[in-house]
Amino acid sequence: MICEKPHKNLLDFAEGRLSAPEHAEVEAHLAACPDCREFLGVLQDITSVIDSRASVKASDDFTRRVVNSAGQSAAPARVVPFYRIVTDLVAASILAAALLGGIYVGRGVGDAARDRTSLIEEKVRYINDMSHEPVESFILTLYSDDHEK
Amino acid sequence: MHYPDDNSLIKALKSRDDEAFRVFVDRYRDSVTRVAIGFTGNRDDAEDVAQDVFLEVYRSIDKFRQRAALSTWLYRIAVNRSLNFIRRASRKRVVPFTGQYGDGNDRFEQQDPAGNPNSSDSPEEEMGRAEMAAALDSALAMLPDNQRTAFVLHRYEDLSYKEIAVIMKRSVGSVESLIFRARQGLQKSLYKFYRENIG
Repeated sequence: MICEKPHKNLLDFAEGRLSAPEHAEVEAHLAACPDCREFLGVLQDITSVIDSRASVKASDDFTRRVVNSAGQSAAPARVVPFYRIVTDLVAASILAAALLGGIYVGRGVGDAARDRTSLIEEKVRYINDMSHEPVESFILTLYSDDHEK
Repeated sequence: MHYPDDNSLIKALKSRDDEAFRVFVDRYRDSVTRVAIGFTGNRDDAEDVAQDVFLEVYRSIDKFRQRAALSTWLYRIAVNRSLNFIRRASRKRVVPFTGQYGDGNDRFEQQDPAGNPNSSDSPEEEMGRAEMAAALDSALAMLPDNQRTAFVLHRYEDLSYKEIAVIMKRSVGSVESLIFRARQGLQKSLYKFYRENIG
């Protein structure tokens, strides 16, 4: 007969982790439930596997293997071939020259643009210079002359 | 050379003292292997992971600021490397949850579930234990990482809730809850195995 609701503390019971009252409660359930008794057998086997793993030790040559691996990982770095160094330097120089050239050209363009801007600003300022004759007063003056006439 | 405490050992490790590294590995190799086997399920893989752990310490010892104990740091690395191993392994194969054991890996045929080479059990008994080992591995694989970690550290390494709380950077209450839920989850998964294969 299959137990519809196996006791929730069976694993703890198998591992001897229950208090005396809890242990007694599970024992009473097991006395009446063959399915849980059989399942308890499975849990006891599982507990045995866990105990085996909890007592495992590293193999005898483990330390030697680890120390050897560490020694190899601490070996000096590989020497870079000379031609790699030269090609890397040439590439870096070309990049630097392109960057500086771009900056130089950019500054020239910027200076010319600034010169044009200052010339335009002068002319516009002249056209817009209304400090002695605002547009509104100029129009009013025209109108008043015509009106008087 | 004798290294009576962690401080002297750490100092020697940082100065790349080979003898200190040998002593360090000897002192902790069984613990690290036990933590790893809680995730890998067999000793060969556990030793591969353990070797990675010690090499990581060898490479990174200069970064160790001694805010925690050396063993705490070592356990954290062991857990991380073990979790990385099972994530890589799960991408390659699925652990079967049937009456067959393992994945046909010879390791299960040559070793007992703990990886010990010499077993006095009969072939039938070895087959039964291998099945149980596979069932345990499947049940552990179904736990969330934090529950599995807490369970392994407690059950395989016999660490206290307080020690585990420091390693996992959680409260003691949180660790207690994780282990409780892990055990409940294991029983549930193992009962399913029992119903499908035995009962």
